[in-house]
Amino acid sequence: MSDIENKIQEEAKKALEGGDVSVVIGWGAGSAPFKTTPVFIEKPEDADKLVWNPACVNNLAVYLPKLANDKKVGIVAKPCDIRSMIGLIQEKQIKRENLYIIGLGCAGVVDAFNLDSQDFHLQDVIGLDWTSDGLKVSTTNGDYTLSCSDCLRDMCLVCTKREPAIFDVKLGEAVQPSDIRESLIPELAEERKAYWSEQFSKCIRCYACRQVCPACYCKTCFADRVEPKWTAKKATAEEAWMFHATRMMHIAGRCIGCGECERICPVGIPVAELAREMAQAVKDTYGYEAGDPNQESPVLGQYKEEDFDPAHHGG
Amino acid sequence: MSEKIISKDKIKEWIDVLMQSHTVVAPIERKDAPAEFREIKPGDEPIIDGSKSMMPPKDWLLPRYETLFKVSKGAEGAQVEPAVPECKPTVMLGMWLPDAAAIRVLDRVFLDDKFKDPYYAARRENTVLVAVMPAEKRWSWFCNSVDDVETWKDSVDVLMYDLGDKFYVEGISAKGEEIIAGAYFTESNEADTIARNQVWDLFAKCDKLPFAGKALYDNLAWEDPIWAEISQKCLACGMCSYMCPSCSCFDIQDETNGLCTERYRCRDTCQFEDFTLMGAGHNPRNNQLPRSRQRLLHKFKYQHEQFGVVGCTGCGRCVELCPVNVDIRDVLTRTCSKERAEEPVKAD
Ligand code: SF4
Ligand code: SF4
Ligand code: SF4
Ligand code: SF4
Ligand code: SF4
Repeated sequence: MSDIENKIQEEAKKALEGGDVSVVIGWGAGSAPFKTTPVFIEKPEDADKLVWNPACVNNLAVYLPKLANDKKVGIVAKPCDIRSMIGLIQEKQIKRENLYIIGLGCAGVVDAFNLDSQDFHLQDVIGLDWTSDGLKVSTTNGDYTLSCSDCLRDMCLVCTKREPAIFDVKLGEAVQPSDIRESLIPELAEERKAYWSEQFSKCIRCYACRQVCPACYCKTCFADRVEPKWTAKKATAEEAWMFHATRMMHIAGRCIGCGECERICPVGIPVAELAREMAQAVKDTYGYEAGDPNQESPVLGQYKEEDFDPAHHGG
Repeated sequence: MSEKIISKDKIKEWIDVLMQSHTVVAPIERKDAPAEFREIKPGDEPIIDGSKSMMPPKDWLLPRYETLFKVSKGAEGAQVEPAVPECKPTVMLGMWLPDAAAIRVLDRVFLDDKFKDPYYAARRENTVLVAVMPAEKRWSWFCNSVDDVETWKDSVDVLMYDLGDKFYVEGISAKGEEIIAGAYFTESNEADTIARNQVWDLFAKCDKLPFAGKALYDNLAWEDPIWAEISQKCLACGMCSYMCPSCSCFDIQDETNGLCTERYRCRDTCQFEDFTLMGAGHNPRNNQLPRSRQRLLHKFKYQHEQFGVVGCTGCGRCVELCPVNVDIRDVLTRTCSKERAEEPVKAD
């Protein structure tokens, strides 16, 4: 058990013993060594169920709007999860004083499906651990070390904000891999429309990308509305355009790039790539980045005289 | 039952011949996406190599989106245009044996004598099922814990075993025998049979999980603290049923454009909030707890009572895909183990 994991358990235990935190959300051991599962710890003695390892992928902020509106909730969180919380606080979905954040310095997390390789299969994996050379994968046939670029999730490959922006306790150190990439946004090209048409033709319209997104907290999503009907439920590329284009407009300036939507898509649509483009556009136009604790309100809730306005500045 | 060998490099020729008389459906390679079951068209790359396809074969039999009929208003009043497909004899190739067993579950739902679904029946009734046994084990399988997998062989017409550079091929039904009569099928020898048995044993003889057998449906209870536990983390993403080869639920919607209305059906799942939402606004399953319970009870209790088969074949897709790692094997182990069943249950 790692040192940090121990400390997380101690902090969670303390918080629950203190009495004002009613539950601590964190990651627990999953059903396979390369999986973790969200856990909701209510009793101090259960705090030892919390784990911290390279498979702690879930952005647990997704649970907060429902859970933390009337009570204080402890949460173990990566820096990106915390940026989601900052957004939720700015949008008045949760109150800062209802959160007890156990923030972690981050080395990135891995996507289990990227691990299946020439050398070993997932069913042989018995443990994952970060070392100074990369990810150590222990298997029944020996240990392997993978470089960060071979196993980190896409979002982690470009992430430069690896320290918690806000927290009540901070544990662990940020690790910046040397092979970090500049950007994952492809050059805007003529073929873009064809590219996305092909991507959207795969969409099975399960809406899982929306369900896992902490920024998608609407009580009734436009996509589920019957009257007026914004988009039909049938799985066609046209309807998927409508769904994704609208969702992207709704998360513009709000998506913090956790990549959960991309992780879950069963047909491999790079949904977060669109979200990254939107974030870049908002940054270029308004100088605003989602999840910044120094901003008081979301970009769409601010008005500045000098803001870009297509009517005045030519669009 | 005939037993033969086909070399993997002859598969293409075999498919070409089948395509002269049949619609041939197989997992087709797609760019940056898991292969999907659809009709093979010239230039397609079907994947018949023993690997498991992540997309379920129901994508073909129960499409994600299907027009049921169209109604348009013209000078002579309303015109109804039915859309029941006309299907040539079809061969479905390349599905993994548990997925064929899942089709057996779909058949119970859609080919029932009293409520036969004409759309499903049109595609299904004239279809020859050819299943493949992969040579490698996958971490998420638990097939032989949910059923006697030996009986699954009867749900296919041909069963192929992946032996590396060739397949061992068993013709199981008369329809199946017909399509493996070509010259590229050769006699098998004793070594092939031994290799075939190894492939089968890898699948059928792995350890059984504690819920195997009667415990699977007898011990599942309406009141069980586990429903609260899994529903708390469940994000209602629906992946566990949209991708499940044996989940059959669908939604029916109308879409009107001018004077023409299309009625279509598309996928739906008991994990969604509006699945049980009534017209007047009442929702009998008004939070995630009864929804999480429904998925398990429907698969392992209600379907077993109704059809004598469980609605899960242990394919492991939901195990692999659930974003919060609700692992159905864990849930079953805990709900069906003796100690668990005897624990006092707390009310909702
Ligand atoms: S998760 Fe993927 S398949 Fe599902 S709705 Fe989103 S983009 Fe479509
Ligand atoms: S849109 Fe995707 S990347 Fe952005 S916050 Fe939502 S889940 Fe995360
Ligand atoms: S393992 Fe999951 S996806 Fe597969 S048949 Fe069972 S319930 Fe469906
Ligand atoms: S588990 Fe749910 S979605 Fe699947 S068939 Fe049963 S009720 Fe339908
Ligand atoms: S896949 Fe997991 S999170 Fe999604 S609906 Fe099923 S149990 Fe819930």
